[in-house]
Order: sequence, then C-alpha cells, then structure tokens
Amino acid sequence: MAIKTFTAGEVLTASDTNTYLANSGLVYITQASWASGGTVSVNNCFTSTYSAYRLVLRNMKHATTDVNVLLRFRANGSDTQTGYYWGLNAVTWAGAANSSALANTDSIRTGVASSTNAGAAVIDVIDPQKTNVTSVSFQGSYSATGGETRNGSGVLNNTTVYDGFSLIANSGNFTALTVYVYGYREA
Amino acid sequence: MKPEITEHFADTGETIVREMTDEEYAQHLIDQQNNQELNFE
Repeated sequence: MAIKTFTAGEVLTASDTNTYLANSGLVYITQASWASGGTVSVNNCFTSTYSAYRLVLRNMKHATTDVNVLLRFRANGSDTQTGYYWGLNAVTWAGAANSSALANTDSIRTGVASSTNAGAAVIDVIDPQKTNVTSVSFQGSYSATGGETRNGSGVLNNTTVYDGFSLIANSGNFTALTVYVYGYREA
Repeated sequence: MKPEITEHFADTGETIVREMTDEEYAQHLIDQQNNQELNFE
C-alpha cells in the first residue's frame, strides 16, 4: 500500500493517515553522534528491509587538521579491512582538480573532517545485505580555506552481508560528527 | 592506552565509548601511515 489516491468526500481514516504519512521515500533508521576518539561505528542499521541506504554526514570536525573520512563496512561488530575499490574527483574552490583512486585497499575514502569549518557529505550504500558486492556513491564538501568539493564511488568486492559501518578519521580524533541513516523505500 | 571509538547500536539506540581492540588498533596504525602516503589533496 505504497500509494493511495483519495477522492472527494471520502473519509480519511486514522489507519490510512498513519500508513500513508509514513510512506515517505526515505525512511529514518537511526542516527549516531561522535562522543570520543577518531571512529564512529554504527551497528545493526542495515537489514533485509531495504536494499539501498543513505548516510547523511554533517558537522564533521577534526581536532587538529583536515583529514579524509574513511568508510568501512562491518558485520557482527567487526570492520572489514580489505577488498575496497574506489575513485574520486575533487575540485578546490580555486579551481584546481585532483583525482584519487585505490584498488583492493582497506577502506573507501569519502568526505573531509575539518579543524576549522565542518565538512559534510552524503553517501548512498547499495546492497550491503545482499550476497554480492556492496556499492557506494558519495559527494561532499568542506568550507575551510583550501576546501574543495568531492564526488566519487566505490565497491567492497566480496559477498559478505553487512549490518553496519564505521566512519574513521584518517588520523587523530574527531571533535564532532553526526550521521543519519535512512533506508530507501521499495514499495 | 589505545584510542577510543564511539560505537552506536541502531537496534537498541545505545551509544558507548570503548577502547580499540588489538585488531582495530593495528589498522589504526596503518591508517595513520597511509595518511602520510596519501596526503590530502
């Protein structure tokens, strides 16, 4: 009952209201905020209910410098540390273009946590709960002097079913980071 | 003392702070080394 068209004069029941108000395209699952250290891990957020997920990363701040925020998938509370393939394109606000890529590495490079102005990013995750590759697309930016915009994608090339993920400062510690997790409705 | 991580559990809503495991700490050291090799653009 994903969609229903009401007609003039029809009674809108409490049941219909509750059902259809909840039938948004993105369904909130959970959120997590940094409390200490350089890693924020989220467990048990990927389930068989959805095939695709959106992670919204906001207020990514670092204690001392600007660092890459790495993404790893986890199963039963343990990060997978091999089999990631990714590439990204970046352009600084001054117009300088950079490209980076790595094959069969230990994480996917995504956005930036900055020591001055916070970074932000959105990451789409496809098929973490399927027994095929887990795919990722992302885009983000940060607004410090020397900041840049980034977009890229990658895969985790194995058939493991994942139920969570970690966001990791490439060095040092975060001072803030909040991630919201949504599932893409399928019907 | 190993670095701490923030760990959230979506099913219970609980968030904890704990010390890294030995395996996590080993990867953490590799991450730091990679950060020097793959310097931020």
